[in-house]
Amino acid sequence: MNQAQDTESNMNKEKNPKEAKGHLHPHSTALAEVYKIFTGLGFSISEGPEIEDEYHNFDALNVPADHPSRDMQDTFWLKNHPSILSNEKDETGHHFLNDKKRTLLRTQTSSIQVRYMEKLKHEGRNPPFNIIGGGKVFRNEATDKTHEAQFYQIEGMSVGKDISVATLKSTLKEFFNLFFGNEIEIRFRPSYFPFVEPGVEVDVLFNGKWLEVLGAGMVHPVVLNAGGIDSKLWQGFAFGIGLDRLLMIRHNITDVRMLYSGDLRFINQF
Amino acid sequence: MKISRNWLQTYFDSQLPGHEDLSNLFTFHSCEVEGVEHASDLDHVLDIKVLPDRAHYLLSHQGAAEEISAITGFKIKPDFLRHNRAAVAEKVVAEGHIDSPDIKVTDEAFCSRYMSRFVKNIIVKESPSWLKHWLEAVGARSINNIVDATNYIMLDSGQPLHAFDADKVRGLIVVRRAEAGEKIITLDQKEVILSIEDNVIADDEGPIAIAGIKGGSRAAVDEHTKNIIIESARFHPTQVRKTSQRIGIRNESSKRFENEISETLASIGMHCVSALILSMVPEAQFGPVGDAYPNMLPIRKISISPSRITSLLGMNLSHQIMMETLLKLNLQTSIFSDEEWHITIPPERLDIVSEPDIADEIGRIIGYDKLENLQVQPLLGEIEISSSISEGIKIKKCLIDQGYGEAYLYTFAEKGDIQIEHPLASDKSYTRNNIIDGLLSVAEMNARNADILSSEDVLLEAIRMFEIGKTFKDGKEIWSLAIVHRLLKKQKGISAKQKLEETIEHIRERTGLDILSNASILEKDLTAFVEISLDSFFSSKEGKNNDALDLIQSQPLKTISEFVQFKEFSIYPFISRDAALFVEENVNEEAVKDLIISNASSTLLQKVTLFDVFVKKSEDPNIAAKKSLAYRLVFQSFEKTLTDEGVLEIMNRVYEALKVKGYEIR
Repeated sequence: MNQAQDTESNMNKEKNPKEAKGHLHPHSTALAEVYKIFTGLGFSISEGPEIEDEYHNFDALNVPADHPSRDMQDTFWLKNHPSILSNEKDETGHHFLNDKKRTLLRTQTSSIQVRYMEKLKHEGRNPPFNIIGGGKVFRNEATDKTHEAQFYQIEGMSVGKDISVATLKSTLKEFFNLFFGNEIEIRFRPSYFPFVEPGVEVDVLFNGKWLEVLGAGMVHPVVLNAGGIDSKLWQGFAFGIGLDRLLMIRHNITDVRMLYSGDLRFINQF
Repeated sequence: MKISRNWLQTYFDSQLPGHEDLSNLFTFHSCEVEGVEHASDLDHVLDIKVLPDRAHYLLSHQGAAEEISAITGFKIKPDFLRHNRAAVAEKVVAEGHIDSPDIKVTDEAFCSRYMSRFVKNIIVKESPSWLKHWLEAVGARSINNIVDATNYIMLDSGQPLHAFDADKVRGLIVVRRAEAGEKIITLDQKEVILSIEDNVIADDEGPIAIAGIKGGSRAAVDEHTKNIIIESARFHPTQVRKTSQRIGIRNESSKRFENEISETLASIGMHCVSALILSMVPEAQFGPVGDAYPNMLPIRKISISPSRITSLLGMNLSHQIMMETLLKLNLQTSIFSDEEWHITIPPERLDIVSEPDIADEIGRIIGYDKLENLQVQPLLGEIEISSSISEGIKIKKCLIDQGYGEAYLYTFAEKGDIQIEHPLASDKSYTRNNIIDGLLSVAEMNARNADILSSEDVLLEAIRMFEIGKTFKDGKEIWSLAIVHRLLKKQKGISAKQKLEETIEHIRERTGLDILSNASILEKDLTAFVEISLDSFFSSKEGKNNDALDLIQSQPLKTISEFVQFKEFSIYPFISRDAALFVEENVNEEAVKDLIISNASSTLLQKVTLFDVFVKKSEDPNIAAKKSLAYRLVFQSFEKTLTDEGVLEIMNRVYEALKVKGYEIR
C-alpha cells in the first residue's frame, strides 16, 4: 500500500457518518427516559452518595440493628470506618459526622429518600414533594448471568396529604406504559421491606409473562419521622426499581454482566 | 416453608382449591410461592417464601391455614382454632404420682418461657405411616415416633420442641449461659465449643442442648429410651441468631426462634405434642406441665383511625367491610369513636404493631387487584433537577456526537483508598479511586476487536470511550469523567492528543464548562487519555440550570417495536485477512465485494470492509488507468476457534474466483 500517497481518493480521509456517532450506554438512555417520564408527572430528580453510612442505609430506613431483614441484603462493609462523607457539609445534623457509624456501599437507593428529607428539613421546607433518582447499588453476592454485585436502581418517593397505594399503582402503571412504549399490565403482591408498610412487589406483564420488577409501598412512619417529617400530617409512597432487569427485559439482554463489561460489541448495539 | 396441601386440608371441612389456585391465593394475599412440588398420593407441596414480618406466625401449617381462612372465608375446624388447640390437647391427663421436672432459668430475658413435663413408660419405635408420610411430604426425615412427634408439631404449630431422655439427665435442669470453652457433642456427633455468648440447657454434668438450636447426644432419645422430658420454650431471637451464626448451625428450630415467636405458642406446642405422643403410645404416662413463665404478656391492643387507613390504601371501604376483614384475621375491633378503633392483636401476630400494619392486613386480604382503572395525575410539588444529572447529560451528548462510546465499569478495583471488608475477590478489594485505569484496559480489549467493531464501509480509526461515574479518593466521593482516545494505527499528521483536545474544546463550546481547567491530557503511544473531577463544575451550575427541565423533557421515548433487541456476538477469536487487487477503472466495488462473499461461501465470513480505493493513472496515455481495491475479510465462528489453515482454504477460493475474473491480486 506504499502507493497510497499518490492516491486521488483515500476513503479513510473522509469522515464516515456511521462511524462519527458514538453510543450511549443503555443505562444512560434508560435513565434519561425515566427522568423524562417522572418529571412529566411532577417529580424532582435527586441523588445520593454510593458510599453510605449505616444510619442512612439501615437505621433511618427502619431496619433494626439485629433484625433478620439485614440478612436479606448482604452488605459490602468498608474498612477505615471514619465516614468518607466527613468532609461534606454537616448542617443537616445528626449522625452525618459520627465516625463511629460504619460505612458501606449502599445496598439500595432508598437512602436517597432519607438524604432528600434531610435536605428539605435543612432548608426549612415542607412536603408535598416527589423525587426520582437513579444510582448504583451493591450486594455482596456471587455473580452469574442474572446476578451482579453492582447494579442500578431507580428510587421514587412521593409525600403529600393523600398519597396512597392507589396513587402508587396509577403512577407506576403510567411509568411502565411509557417506558415500554405500550399499554402494560401491572399487578401488586404483598411483600415486606422494613421501610414501607404496606409493602408490595410489582410484576409487569411482558411478552405474555409476569415479571417481578420492583418493590414498593407506603413510606413507613418511622422513615418519615427520621427524615423530620411528621407522619401524623403526611403520608407517601416509595418504590425501588431494578433498572438492569428492566433493560434485560426490554432489550432481550441475556447476561447482566454485559452491562458492566465496557465491551463495544455490546454498547454499539444500542 | 413447605406447606402440604393435604396437611392444610386437615384444618378445613370445606374442600380447598387445587394447588394452582391455592398458590395464587398465597401469592396475591399473603406471600410469594417459590415452587410447587407434586408429592405422593395426589398431594402438592407449596414452598412459600415467608419474609421476616410474617415469620412470627407463618412458619407453620397453622399460620398457613389461618391465612387461607382469612382469604377465602373458609372456617377452620373448631378443634384446630389456635385458641382451642391447647385446651383440646390438654385433655391428656397428668398422672398424680409424677412430678414436673426441676427447672431453673437464670436469664428470663433470654428464656421468657420454659415449659416441660415428664412422659414415662414410652416406647420408642417407628412412626405410624401417616406421620412418616406427612414429614416426608414436606422434606423432613423420619427418625422415630418421639422425635417425629416434636418435628411434626413444630411444622404444624410453629413451636420448636425438644425431647430429652429423662434417665440420662442428672439432677436439675438449668437454662443458662455457656461457660467459655464449654463443649457439647450434638445429636449428630459434632463437637461444638461454646462461648459465654451462647446459651445452653444443662444438667449437673454440663450442657445437654444448645438452647433453641440443637440437642446434645448425651441426653438423646434412642430406641432404649423409656422416659422423656419434653421441652417447649421461647428463647430470645437475637441471641439464638448470634449463636446459630457463630457455630454455623441453622435449622428449622433456630429459624423459628430467630424470627421471634410468641410465648403463647409454647403452650400449644406442649399440649399438642403430648396428645400426639399419647395417640401413638397409649400406655405413656404424663406428668404435670411445669411452666416457668414469670412475666405473662398482657393482651395487646392498638388504636387506629379507619379514615387514615382508607386514605393510605386509596380504597373506598365501608367501616363494616374493614371490620369484617379484620375479623377474618382474628383481629377484634372495638369502636371507641368514629375516628378511633381499638384492635386486639392475637399474641402470635408480633408483626402488627401500628396503624400501617393494619392497613397492610386490610389491603392484602381485600386484594390490590381491586385498585383498577386508576387515572394518573401529576403530583403536587415543585420540580428541581440536580445539576449532576442535567450537566452530565450535556457532556455525554457532546461525547456521543464526537464518536465516543459510553462505558459503565465496576466500582471494585484491585487498588484504591478504601478497602472492602469482605470483597468478592482479591482484585476487587477496593473501591476505585479512578475510572481511567479500567477504561484504558477495556479500550485495549476493544482495540483488539477493532475489525469486528468496524462498519461495513470503513475500518475503525480509533477506539473512543468515556465514563462518567463515582470515584473514591482522598476521603471523598466524587463525580469523575474519564475519556480515552486510542488510535488504531499511526497516521501522519494525526495525534490522539490533538483529537482529544478537539473533543474537550467541543464540550467547552457546547456546555460552557471548561473541564480541562484542572486536568491535563496524558499520552502514551497511540493513546491519549484524561480524567477530570466534575464536582466543581456541577456545583457551579447548581440552582442555575434553568434549561434542565427542557433538556430532560427533550429525551425521546420509543414505542415497543422500536427497541433494539440485543444480538449475541461470538466469544471466539476472529481472523482478519486483507485482499488487495487491481481492477479496471470501471469495475464496480460492490460487485467485487459480492463476488468475494459468494465465493467464500462460508458462514464464517462475518464482514467484508472495503477499506482502500485509489486509481492509478499511468503516465503512458496508452495504458489504461488501474483501480486498486483493498478489502478486509473478517472470519469468526460461534462454535470454535478458527485455524489459519481453515481460513486459508476459504481465501484461496476467493483468490481463484478473483483471478478467473481477470483481476490482478496484489
